[in-house]
Amino acid sequence: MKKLLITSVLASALVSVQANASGAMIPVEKFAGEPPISGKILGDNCSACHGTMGRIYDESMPPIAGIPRDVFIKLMTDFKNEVRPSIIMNHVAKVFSDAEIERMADYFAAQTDAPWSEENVLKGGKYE
Amino acid sequence: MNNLSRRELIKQFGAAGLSTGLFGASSKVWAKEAPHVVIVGGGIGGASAAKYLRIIDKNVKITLIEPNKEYIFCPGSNEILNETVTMEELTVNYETLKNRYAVNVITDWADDIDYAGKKVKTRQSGAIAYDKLIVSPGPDYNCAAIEGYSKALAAGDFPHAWKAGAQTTKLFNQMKSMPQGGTIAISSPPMPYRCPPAPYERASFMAEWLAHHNPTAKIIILDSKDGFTFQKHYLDYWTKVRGFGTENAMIEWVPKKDGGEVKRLDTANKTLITANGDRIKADVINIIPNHTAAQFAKDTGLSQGQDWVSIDPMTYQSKVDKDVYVVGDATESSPMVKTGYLASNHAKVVVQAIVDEFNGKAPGQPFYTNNCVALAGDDYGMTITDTFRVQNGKIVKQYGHQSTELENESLHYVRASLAKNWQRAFRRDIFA
Amino acid sequence: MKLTKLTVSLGITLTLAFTANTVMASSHGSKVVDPWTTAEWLETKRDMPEGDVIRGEKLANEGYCYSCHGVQGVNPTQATPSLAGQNPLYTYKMLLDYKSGLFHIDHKSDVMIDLMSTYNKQQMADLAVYYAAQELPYLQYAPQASTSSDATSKVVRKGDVSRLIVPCASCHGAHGEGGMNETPALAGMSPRMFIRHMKAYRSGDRTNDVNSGMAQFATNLTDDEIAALADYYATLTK
Repeated sequence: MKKLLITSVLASALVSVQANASGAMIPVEKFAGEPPISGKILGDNCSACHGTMGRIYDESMPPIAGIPRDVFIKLMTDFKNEVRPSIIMNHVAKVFSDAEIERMADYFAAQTDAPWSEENVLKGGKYE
Repeated sequence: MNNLSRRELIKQFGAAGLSTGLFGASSKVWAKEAPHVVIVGGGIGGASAAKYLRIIDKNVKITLIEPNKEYIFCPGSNEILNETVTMEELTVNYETLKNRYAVNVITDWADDIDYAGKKVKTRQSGAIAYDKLIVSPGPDYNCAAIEGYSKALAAGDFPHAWKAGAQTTKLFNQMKSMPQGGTIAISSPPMPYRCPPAPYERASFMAEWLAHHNPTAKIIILDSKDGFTFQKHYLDYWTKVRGFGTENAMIEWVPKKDGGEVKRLDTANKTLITANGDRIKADVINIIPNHTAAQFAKDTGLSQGQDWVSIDPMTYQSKVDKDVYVVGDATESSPMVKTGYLASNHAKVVVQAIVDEFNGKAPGQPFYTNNCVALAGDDYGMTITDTFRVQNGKIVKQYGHQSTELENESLHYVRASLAKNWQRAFRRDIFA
Repeated sequence: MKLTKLTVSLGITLTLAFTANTVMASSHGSKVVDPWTTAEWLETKRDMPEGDVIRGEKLANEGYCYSCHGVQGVNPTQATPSLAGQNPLYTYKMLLDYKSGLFHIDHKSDVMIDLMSTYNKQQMADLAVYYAAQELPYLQYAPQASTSSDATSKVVRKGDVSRLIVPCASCHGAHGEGGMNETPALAGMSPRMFIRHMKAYRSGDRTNDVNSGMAQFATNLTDDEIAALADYYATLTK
């Protein structure tokens, strides 16, 4: 039985269709009928890597809090168009419209360029 | 806006809490007028909700009801099994939410919801009144889907270890005490379950540990599915380092169509029986059970008799009551997968919708992503990014991408490095 | 005021408690690597392979270096240093220090340490000369309001005898172009980078300088002075 398992496993590995493999992207223009998503809701999806409000400073992923607006737009646009290669950012960036990138740029440019751990949450914190 | 009397405020926050207050908290937090948001569940969804709600609203009262004093961060907990992380590193508590974000944390079980009276019934802390309720109860495990398996067995000698904690340690110890050349059988469930690549990551890490401590041991994955997330990567890695596909393979994978689906557990003989009738005897059996929504979701009627809680994807409001929001694994969110990453992002949309409503604004358009860096080994990582939008009130998967480069060793290594950085960053985004 | 003091101590406790947790998680940081001796560094310097700019460019492209350090080593953000125009000896040494794990400030260093494990000395030399051949990115990070002053330029040009600080320019060059042995160019460096590394030298988190050659000066600099020097070097032009 063991031999049978090995053979069938090998066959499966060669022939099987991968579950959940990459799929084609629905262009963002197809969603134009929906109201625009705020820069904050878009940007807060970034926090697991880039830190709360983009304010992580001691891990390999770069902080983006306080990033100059035009730098953010250029970077995201370059990621989106695959002009600038990346580990993961190309596929993160390509779903956005130019307007969405601009709203995220405004959001992150407005954040304080200092670690979130230093923030006095109950007193300050820019989050608009 | 709420009916909390001073008496009830003292009961909830303590007399000391009322007088000295949580340092720096807005005095409005203590005023009768501040609306009260109650959160059931202190896992990733609930904790994200608490923190992100406080960030956007300094005045609202926030209460978190969670039965455990500590939370063992589940993402990354498979690394207990190849000893690259300790339980201590994964353990977070609620002190930061209490002290830094002025969240009232009640260590207790929530049992029921009085929708009409807008109260959550707890075991020992009375009924907690809310203006808005966020429920993040997580999944529950339908152990009975495999004949002969049960919750009691899962808590005993057949840990599933699918909620990080004591069962994870137990599973590791079982692997450690296995005789040389022993076998581990992993039963991988049908979708949907939390963290789709995790059973294979688990097998990969266990194999790494075994390669150093028990090199003739074997792992067999019995799958209720015909394919899995990151299949190409795992098979590539296992072929390169674990002899996958050869006589000496340390890992074998049996998809459903080859009879991999486990139907029965024979505890006396430590044997799994598959749909084919094949009997796989193993020294260590790890059944990752079929999932369903947490019992709380069922008992309160939130799941409306189904496996999962239906929600409005625009705001994650439950279909049962407009003042009750449900997030995370317990929800019916297809085509989203079930991950902590998504639970956290659900929570962010929910708290914004709640605050918008408090301020008389209509809820904004939501956005949900799931980005993950998973590992096959210390030197091999892979990435996935999924993006979901809501169109005409329905969740639409705009894009999904798994990393594809299989040949660049350097790239795999960098991804693995990023994975570890990301796990910490993710944990801190929620609990710090 | 009582409330402020309590708030501050609470903040510190929280930060410390959290830092302890994250430091334990570092498998790279726990590795003990012997610091350079002068003799070892001189030997390494002497044996540095001759680098090839064309090969270096190819390596930089294939290695995804620009995804963090920018195209041609000019980084548009402050997240990682620009490498353009950097002293090739310094770049070479930094890559060696990443490879050995001697350079590890915090988890931000992990990805470079992991990356360098697959590179050899010839490749490092090639990368070093490639980046050296690019132009120093002057004036990339003009700070909003410069904190530097006459006092700052004095430290740069004359040092401070009372604290045994030699002039920065004596090693880092009159125009911050570096070049004295393995000292790096500082001109155009992002202020955030500058401050991070000076503080890391000062706290002992960064120990890859030969014979504490840099740490000995950083030890006696104040936060304000470091910030002023960061601004000074960020705006330094030819």
